[in-house]
Amino acid sequence: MDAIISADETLFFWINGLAGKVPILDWLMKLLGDDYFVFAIMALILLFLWFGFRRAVQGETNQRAVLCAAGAVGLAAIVIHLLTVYGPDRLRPYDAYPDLVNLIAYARTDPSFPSESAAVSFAFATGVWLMKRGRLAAAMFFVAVLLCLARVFVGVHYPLDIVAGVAIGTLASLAAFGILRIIEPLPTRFIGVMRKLYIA
Amino acid sequence: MLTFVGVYFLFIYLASLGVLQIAVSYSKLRGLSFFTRPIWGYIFGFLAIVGGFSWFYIVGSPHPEVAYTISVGDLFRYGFSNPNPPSTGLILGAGESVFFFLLAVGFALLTTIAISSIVKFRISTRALEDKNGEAPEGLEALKGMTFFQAITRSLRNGQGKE
Repeated sequence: MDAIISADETLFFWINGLAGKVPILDWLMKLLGDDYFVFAIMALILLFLWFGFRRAVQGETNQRAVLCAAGAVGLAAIVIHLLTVYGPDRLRPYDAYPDLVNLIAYARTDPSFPSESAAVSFAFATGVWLMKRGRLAAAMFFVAVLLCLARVFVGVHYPLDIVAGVAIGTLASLAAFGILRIIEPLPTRFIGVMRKLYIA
Repeated sequence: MLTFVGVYFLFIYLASLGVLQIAVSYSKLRGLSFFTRPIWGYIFGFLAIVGGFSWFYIVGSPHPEVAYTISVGDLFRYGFSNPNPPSTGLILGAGESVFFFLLAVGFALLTTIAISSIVKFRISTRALEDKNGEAPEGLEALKGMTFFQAITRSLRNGQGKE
């Protein structure tokens, strides 16, 4: 375990060591790693998927993808909350090594492990991908990976926190996908009600 | 506190309005579009999204050096005032972000429905009818009529069946 932690910290310092050298890169990573930018983009992509389709069949697939992604995000948030309360209380890198970390974002007070941002962004992307594999899902994965990289770059997470978050987000999506199948008449009826109201 | 929430709300509202116009232009949902030509929907959507993000990142200053996370309780307790030192910036908690996001999207959808129904009130409702005079259901119906026309038609058909 010590070897893994050591390798994790080495990788963290290598990535975080790049911060504070190129102002435009710092600005970009700060933007990608903040609490709004990527999540707003992903949620807006879901909004587009709900309303943006050319044929009715495609529309229903899109809307199921939105339901899957929304369910996955909810599940991932619950798991992360439980781990934050009952899981290991790993200090944030800037708290553990205040003199060594290049912190270019504001300091958070919650535990470092696991990364909620990584979990939520991968829950969004995997949730959509499981129902609808295409360019939008690929773009969401790309943005999610950038967010994960940015969170390490700005100094708020270790790479292992990110890996755990990605695993939780992916598993939450698989669980949401399975739950939607198990409760099957319900999603169809929900979409049916939305169709009667002319919003699906 | 409420000022920051307002800035965030407006950001999501504008961006959602833009995404909705791009989506309805892509889907050719004439009844939900503000414009007669889809290209204007794409242009409006792009400008609204860029405007929303620019507004938030310029006015909202969401990258403070020291941050205080706003909770729902704070909004009732402090209203528009911020009890923190001036150097402390504000950020939204996860639950609060989701709540105000959904609220803003809901308002953007209502705005889209209201404006498109007013602007397109003369649109022909016969365009998509089949031989029996039946219109398609759901969003597909809004390719040929506005939201209010569709709802009115549903209510009339419902009364006719009784």
